[in-house]
Amino acid sequence: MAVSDRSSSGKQTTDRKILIIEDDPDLLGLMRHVMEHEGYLVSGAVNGAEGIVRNTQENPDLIVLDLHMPEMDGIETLRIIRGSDDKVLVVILTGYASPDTIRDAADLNVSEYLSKPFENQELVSVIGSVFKL
Amino acid sequence: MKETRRLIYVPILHAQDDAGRAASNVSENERTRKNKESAGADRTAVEHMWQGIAAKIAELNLPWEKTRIYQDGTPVCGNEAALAERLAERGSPNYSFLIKLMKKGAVLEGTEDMELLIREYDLLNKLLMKKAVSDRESVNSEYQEKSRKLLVLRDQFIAERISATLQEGEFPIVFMGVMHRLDKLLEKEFQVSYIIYRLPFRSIGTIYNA
Repeated sequence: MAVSDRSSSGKQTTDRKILIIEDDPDLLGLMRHVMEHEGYLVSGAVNGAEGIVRNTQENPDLIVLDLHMPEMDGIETLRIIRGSDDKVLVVILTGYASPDTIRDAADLNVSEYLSKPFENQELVSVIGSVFKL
Repeated sequence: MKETRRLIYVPILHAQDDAGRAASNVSENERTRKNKESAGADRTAVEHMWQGIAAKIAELNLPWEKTRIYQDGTPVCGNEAALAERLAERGSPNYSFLIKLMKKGAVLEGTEDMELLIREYDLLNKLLMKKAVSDRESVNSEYQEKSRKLLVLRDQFIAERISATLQEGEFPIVFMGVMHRLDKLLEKEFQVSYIIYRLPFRSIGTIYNA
């Protein structure tokens, strides 16, 4: 892991950047807080269109992507992102499990698929394991 | 009017340990492709997936003595329980979980046509035996195409098998690799409820999941 500094929590900070695309501002804020506490550099987007732009501008190492968003859903968002970025790691979050969306996600080379609701520590663990591999 | 029955459908990712003989024949080949740390992380991710699935299924409070389990990769052979025990002993987290459910009273039903399953294992074996990455890539596209066609036949057989074996008053629970499209066939006859916790694609990929 690329280590750069220590955060106020005492944890080592990393150079790794995470972009969270989540339309629920409360959940976005919570995940942002949790991941910053783990030492990651975190930015957020509240819809797919903003997420696509931020991915281009900020070149994150990993995207945490909500599947169910109004206007542009997570699969459509990821399809556009993958059109120009086949490297970024992606963790999908969803409250509804449908094999169709799972297959779509697999085709778009996602790293993990995690169902809502989840504990903060589960998200931390999943992201940690994705970076470790 | 006939009441639509409920069916629990659990999309899963198979690990190498679940794939039985086809994968065990080439496990050494695979081990050389992965370092120990990575393999350990893979196993942890798979075990975590099954712990999460177990917790979600426990919340359903199913009447286990009236529950019939359908698992992809389990052939109709008359020795389904013994096969499950053998795979669990070899370290399959999937079959280890099934054994726990069977101990509670659930019945494991033979699910797949043996001949179709052997054809799938042969295809998979041919792919996994290739050591060079370039060889693998060329065989992989051939595998994907043939496996996809085979999967259609396997799913048709499984759907018919569920209809034929499920008894009145029983609850079906189906564990199926994510690349199956069995759900499409079952939705015509059942009210399908999906259970998912976590799918660690990066750890284990989809290679063992046809």
